[in-house]
Amino acid sequence: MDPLLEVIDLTIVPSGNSQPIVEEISFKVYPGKIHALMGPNGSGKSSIAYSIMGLKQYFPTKGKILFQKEDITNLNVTERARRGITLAWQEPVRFEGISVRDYIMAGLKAKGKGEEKVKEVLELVGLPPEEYIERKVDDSLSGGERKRIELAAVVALEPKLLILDEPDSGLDIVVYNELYELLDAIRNQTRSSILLITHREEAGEVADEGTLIWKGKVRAKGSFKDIMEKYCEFAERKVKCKKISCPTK
Amino acid sequence: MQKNILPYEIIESVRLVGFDVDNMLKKETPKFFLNYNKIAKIKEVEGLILAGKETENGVIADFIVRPGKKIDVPVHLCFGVTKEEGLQEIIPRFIIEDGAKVFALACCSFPKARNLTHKMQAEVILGKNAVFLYEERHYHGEMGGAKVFPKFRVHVGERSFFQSVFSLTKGSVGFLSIEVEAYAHAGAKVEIINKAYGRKKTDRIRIKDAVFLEGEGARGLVKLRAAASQGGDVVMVGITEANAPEATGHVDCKEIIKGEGSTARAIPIVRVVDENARITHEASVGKVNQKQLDTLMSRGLTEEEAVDMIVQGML
Repeated sequence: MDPLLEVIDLTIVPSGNSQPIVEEISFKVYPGKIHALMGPNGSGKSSIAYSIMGLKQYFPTKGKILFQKEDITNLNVTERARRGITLAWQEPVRFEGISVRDYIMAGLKAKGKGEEKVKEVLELVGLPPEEYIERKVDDSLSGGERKRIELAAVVALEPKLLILDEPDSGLDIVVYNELYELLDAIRNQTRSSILLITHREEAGEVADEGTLIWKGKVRAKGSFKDIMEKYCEFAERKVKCKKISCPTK
Repeated sequence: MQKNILPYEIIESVRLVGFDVDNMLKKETPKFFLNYNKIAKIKEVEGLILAGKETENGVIADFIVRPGKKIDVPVHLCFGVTKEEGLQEIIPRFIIEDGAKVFALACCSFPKARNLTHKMQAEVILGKNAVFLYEERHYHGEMGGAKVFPKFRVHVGERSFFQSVFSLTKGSVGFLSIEVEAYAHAGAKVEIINKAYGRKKTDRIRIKDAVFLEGEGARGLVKLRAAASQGGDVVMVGITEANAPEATGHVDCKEIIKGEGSTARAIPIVRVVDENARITHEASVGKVNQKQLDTLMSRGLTEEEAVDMIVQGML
């Protein structure tokens, strides 16, 4: 099977810095699969996600990104989004004066989809449409509500590749427990591939495969079990592995 | 529904700024329509007096709500000009008598303006325990050829409430200079909200809103929102003075700029005379939030569409 996304030797050196944030990163994401990009905070996972999305500040210094075999390295964010890539942010930004309806509809208009889709995705993420559709995407929403609306907005687009940046951070325990079930439901419903940025081993419940990033470099690839073993090894017992036998234990 | 009261272009611009045209044109809807310097239609309802006298370049008009009368449907005002050049001058007097309540929706439309000047010199007087909600939306066409000067002098009687919402967020601006001067008496409340978006190099926006809290317990809010892009220029001044005990006020100015040559200035001025009064202010001028931009672009919007959505949301 051909990969949907192929990241080849990706290196990002921020302007004004001499040290790369990530260096020679390579991995593949296959159609319909959930690929976990694992690693501790500060390892460079989110930078890779932003680079795949095409954010200017994370433009590759070296390497390339192929999407459906097309080299998209020089495309901007909009062009990548229109090819079927989208991103749900770790900390979704707030918008003064924009309703939940308009926020979710923003990317849907070009696809000719209407309010029915907005209601459908709000229900999918567990938010009653009648309570939320008119609300503003601003400070009046809690962090957990914003995360769910962010998920609803990206799922509504039915992207080919959905990048989820730490979707479990900042969630309360009830929502947290539902999240991975939700990801599975999203995959089944949209048939999207998911690139899951996370540092939690619970991601293994849904991830088909993964890549371990540590201090800006790829340290392991393969099944979730394989990369968790490496994760534990690199963490030198700092990571509590509940379900996997750590070689370091 | 009454058709052909106003030129097609004006009706369409009323629709563009978001007013309910069908309701506005209903026979029974209270209204005052002016087409350049001709009164196109007046419809009064019980307790509401609407009268006008045409002048060479516009109209002198009275809008009076009798004591205790509560007009339960919006009163539509429309001042339009379909000429490319010329001068329209409007001198209205709004009198909302004791205990009266009314909501007016005004549309000023100049869809073909190339070198057109619109002036308004309004006098607004609220009696005691009265409520006047006034919303004015403008459309100046796409050519940037309008010069518009709305001026309001407002007296808000004891325990009355006056709210004015002005917006010019569609099409070009041309030159816009708004001046509002409002005096709030004991227990009165005043809210002045202005929103404008200059998106062309030739767009110039000047807003000066002043609220004077003259009576004990008077309250005031000046809220200014503006955006300048592609060389547009905005200056906003929000003034609040507290000259009586227990008066409270707030000035809130927020502007966004985008693109080379665009400029924005926000100037809140507060003055407190009585030691038991309190006024607060906040002002910010800055570029479009990059994360907001990236978020909307990651949903497939172009940068221009994303900026427009962010600005429209703020406005």
